[in-house]
Amino acid sequence: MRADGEKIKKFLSGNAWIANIVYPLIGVGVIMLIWFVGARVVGVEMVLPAPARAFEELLGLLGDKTFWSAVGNTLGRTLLSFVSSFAAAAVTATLSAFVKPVSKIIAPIITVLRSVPTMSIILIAIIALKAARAPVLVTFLIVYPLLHASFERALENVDPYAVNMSRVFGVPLYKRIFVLYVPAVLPDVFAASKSNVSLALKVMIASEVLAQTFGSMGVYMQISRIYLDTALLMGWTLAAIGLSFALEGVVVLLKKVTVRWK
Amino acid sequence: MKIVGLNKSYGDIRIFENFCIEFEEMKTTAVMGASGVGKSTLLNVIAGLTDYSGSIEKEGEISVIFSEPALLKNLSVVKNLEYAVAHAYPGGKIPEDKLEEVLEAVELADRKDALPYELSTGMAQRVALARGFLYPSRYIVMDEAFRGLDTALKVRLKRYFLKLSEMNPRTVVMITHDLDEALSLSDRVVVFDSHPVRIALDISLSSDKSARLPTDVDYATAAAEYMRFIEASI
Repeated sequence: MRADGEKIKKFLSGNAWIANIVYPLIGVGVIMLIWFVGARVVGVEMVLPAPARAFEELLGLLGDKTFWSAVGNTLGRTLLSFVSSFAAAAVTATLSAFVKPVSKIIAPIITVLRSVPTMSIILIAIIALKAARAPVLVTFLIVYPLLHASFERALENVDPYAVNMSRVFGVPLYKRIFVLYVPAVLPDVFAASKSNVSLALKVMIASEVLAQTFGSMGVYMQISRIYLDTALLMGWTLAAIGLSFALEGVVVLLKKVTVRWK
Repeated sequence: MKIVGLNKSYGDIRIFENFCIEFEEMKTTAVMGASGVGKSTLLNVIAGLTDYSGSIEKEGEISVIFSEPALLKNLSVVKNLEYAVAHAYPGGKIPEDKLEEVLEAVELADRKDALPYELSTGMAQRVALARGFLYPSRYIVMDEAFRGLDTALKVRLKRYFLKLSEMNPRTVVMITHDLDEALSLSDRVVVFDSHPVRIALDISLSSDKSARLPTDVDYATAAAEYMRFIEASI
């Protein structure tokens, strides 16, 4: 009996298919159940539609050209902001990690950027820029300081013994950069990118709503809200969640291709 | 290698003040002393890892063996050796026979393609030993290279060290807390005391270290002298 229990325990914890497919599906099922029960309790579709209605709206959207155009616009802007933030953070974090005065200069700038309320940045950007550009700047300003901090921490965490060993053995700089530093920081860089690429999408959509960016996911969500079409709003939300998963999936895939050691 | 007029402070604490020491060529000198006395600072000074005033007279390169293996976890054993050492050889390539010889000496020839996570602690430290001796340096500095290892592993690593020292003689400065390690691997033991550092004890060992036993006269005499110093300083 006890041996059977051990076998079941081993099967449930050691099976990759169960760990990677079944358990996440159970998690999704729990969310759906809570949503379904919530919708039944509220009983008003305009306030909280049932999951089936939201999926129905999503299916409708998938066959609509406008939907794909909005997704393309939002995705393009998100990637532009994220890639710019990534590049800027890579440069400033490297400078901060290796040049002490630069670190002292950048530190307060990062603290200020991290402390300014997101809404203030959005409102100021909307005043200063066109509706299509403001969300790009807002997303950059939100994501950049987070990536900078993660990249700087990753560089500081590189094995100090390996760093000192490289110095004493006079390893050429290009080798230290590409063989020591880059592979050492890659896992942290991917971890930071995975969480921040989703954040970038969320901030982008929020900014699009407020800036009323033409032809964007955010603006279509806002239109659904104005018409009190909550089921359609939930359909757009499901699309945003799917897009977020897809972006995170691309980062995970890139990590699998690049980082091959434990 | 000769250190002349070394000065080094941390805040208000003067670690070294006009400190001088000479390390005999092709011999191993063990540096001992209480924690925080300045042994590792001396290693950092010799290895060029910290700033200081004074001069170090030396003729050639230095390699280092830390208490941690300092291996790059994305590189195999042989790639780790190439990363640290290859650039120091003509054409940027370690001669194949030299590489094989050192890997054989530390019994890692059959593990040369293994990644660090596939190695035991002892194996990883053997790679660090191999790297230290493979680098065409005149001097090797070791910072508690056998720290935290069990007795059997220490004995094995000491054998590898002696074997490599015989094959590739170097001037070695060995920082250690372990009296047996100092007395069984070195030709001279110096003990640091107080701030600023002064040499409180300087013991020479004349017997052949590769065959030296704790029962040998110079080992036993040096051990007794060291213990008398410790008793007096407590």
